[in-house]
Amino acid sequence: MLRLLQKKFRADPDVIHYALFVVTIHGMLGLIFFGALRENPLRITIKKAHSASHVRVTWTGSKNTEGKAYAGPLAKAAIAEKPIQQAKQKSKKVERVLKPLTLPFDHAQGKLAQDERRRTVPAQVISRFSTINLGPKKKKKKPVVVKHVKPVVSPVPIVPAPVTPVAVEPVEEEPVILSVHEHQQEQELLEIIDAVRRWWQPPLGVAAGALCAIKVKVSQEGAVQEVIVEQSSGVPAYDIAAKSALLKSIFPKKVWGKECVFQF
Amino acid sequence: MCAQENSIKITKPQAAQAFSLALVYENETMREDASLLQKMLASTGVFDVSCVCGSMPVCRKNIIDYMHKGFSAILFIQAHKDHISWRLYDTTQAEMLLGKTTGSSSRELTARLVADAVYMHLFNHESYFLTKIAYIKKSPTARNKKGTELALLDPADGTSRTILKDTRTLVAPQWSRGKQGKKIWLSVSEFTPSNVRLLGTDLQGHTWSIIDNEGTYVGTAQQDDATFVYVRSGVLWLYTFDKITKKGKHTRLTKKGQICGCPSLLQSGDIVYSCQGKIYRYDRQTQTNNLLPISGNCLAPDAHAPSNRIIFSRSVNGVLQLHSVDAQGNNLKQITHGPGNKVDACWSPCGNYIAYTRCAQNQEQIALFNCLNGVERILTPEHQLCGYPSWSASDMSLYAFN
Repeated sequence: MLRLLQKKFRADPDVIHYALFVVTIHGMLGLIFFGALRENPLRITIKKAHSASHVRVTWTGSKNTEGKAYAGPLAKAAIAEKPIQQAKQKSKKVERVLKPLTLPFDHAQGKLAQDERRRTVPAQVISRFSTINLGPKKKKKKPVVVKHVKPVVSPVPIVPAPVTPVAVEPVEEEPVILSVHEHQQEQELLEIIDAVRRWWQPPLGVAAGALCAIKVKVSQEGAVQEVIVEQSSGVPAYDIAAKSALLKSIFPKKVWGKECVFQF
Repeated sequence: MCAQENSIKITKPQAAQAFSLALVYENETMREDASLLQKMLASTGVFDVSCVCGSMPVCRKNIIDYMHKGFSAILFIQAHKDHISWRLYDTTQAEMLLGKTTGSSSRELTARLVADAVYMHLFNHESYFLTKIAYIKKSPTARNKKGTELALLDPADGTSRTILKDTRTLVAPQWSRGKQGKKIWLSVSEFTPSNVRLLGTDLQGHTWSIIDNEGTYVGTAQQDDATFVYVRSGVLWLYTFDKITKKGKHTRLTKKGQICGCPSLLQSGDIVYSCQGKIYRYDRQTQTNNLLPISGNCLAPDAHAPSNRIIFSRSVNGVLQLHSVDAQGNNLKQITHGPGNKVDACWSPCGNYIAYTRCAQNQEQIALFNCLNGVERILTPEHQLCGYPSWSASDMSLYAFN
């Protein structure tokens, strides 16, 4: 090979040796650089904040992609996206492996599933669980993807049986990955819940297990047009208080002119 | 968005609110009835009642207007010669929930019956409007310092009526829990020079002797006509009556030498009692006495049969406070926290209220604790020495003698 190069470039063997050495060194450096880029993941950590309804989101990654933010339940998912967007701007390599990401939402509980995990597992396990690795996929462990129940296509809104919360294994380290569409839906759902919860005052003297389902028709102005008790709790005072909360609520634009079923 | 999907679950907030009710009466002649009804309903702590003088609703809009004023329901009352007609409306949908005509011998009893029906319909469990708390009132005279009275207390307004005066000492009254429709009566222990006997008394103060043998008979519990538990000289006994053979049988449940007291019956027929600072449960199927796993010095238990909850006094930092556990002795929960010993607690029939003796600064008063809002209410005056409260079942005849 050395002779071929000497013939082709008609150069001194020492010069050829030097050139090969330089090329090899640069190649190695390049490999190290790209390897480091590949191995350095963007880590997002979610921890408890000053109140149970708030979390502190911190992230660290390559090329100064780091920061922290505090968020209430409505903005949790949005904040989780923020570091990824920041990473996208900083590095094209990271952008290549990015996936749409939100925090899991528990429809049965009406809030982010992280809250449930925080109650059941110690803080260090939560932070470990919530760490999102954007590096290359590991072949050994398959990511556990908790998908939302697909919407049932039915003209009549269906009141399902009380959904038992999915038992979450705190030892699993893989993130919960949802689509952007699902993420947007969750945010809208949280806005609706917040609008009703503002007025929801259950009466005293009602047993803890009371449950009722109420269907409402939202007007084009965001107020409730019609209220129908689909499933009574058996305690009229409880049903009345739930209806009263719905009638006082002003709903976000997404549900204007639509029907919703609420479970109290 | 959400109509096609699952229903949206709204989680309960930490604090519950009183149910706002507008009490609307037609004219000023009804003011007294309305205020009586308001007082009754408000005493429960569950209602926030406002009296309004107004006309009967003509259209839906009239009712919905009340919702905009902040009322969840309206109770319209109309007076007639000897009865009251009333209607309960849901303001959110402007629909009538219940409408009835109620009449009785007295205005107060009518108000109680209306309040009881409204409470029962809205909350789907019984209230205390037709119940009484029996208690012992010490009434020392110049001649006899041991004189006591058996009195009945109204949990709604705190008024009391003495039914039995005795020159001797009376303790531990207990309501009979026989079949409905039968005459209601009480058992009470009376100290005599030779023993402590068990007396029975009706609401007019007519007494008879239940057990008058040697020993001290203090503390009873009755499940039905055929099952009666009593304590004789610190030993727990069960009396059962066989209706077929028409024979009674006395069975000793605890060992001699132990000082047991305050028996109370659970739904299953098992007996809860205290013995030497601990709470025990006697299992009637296996015929064994089981110690409930509650630490500390505990005494005077009372069981609420429908919910199988047990309330008792337990020493916390040298002060006896009320605690509750389930029938297995688990889920210990401290109920009271204030100063002063709280003893001899008993449940209301609905299980939402607790009557007990509050001992503080040489005073013994009957107090009522509302488990729904955590408010304590003293029912008897300061200068009286009162104790041993016992809550009756709901019975209209209790107010027929007022």
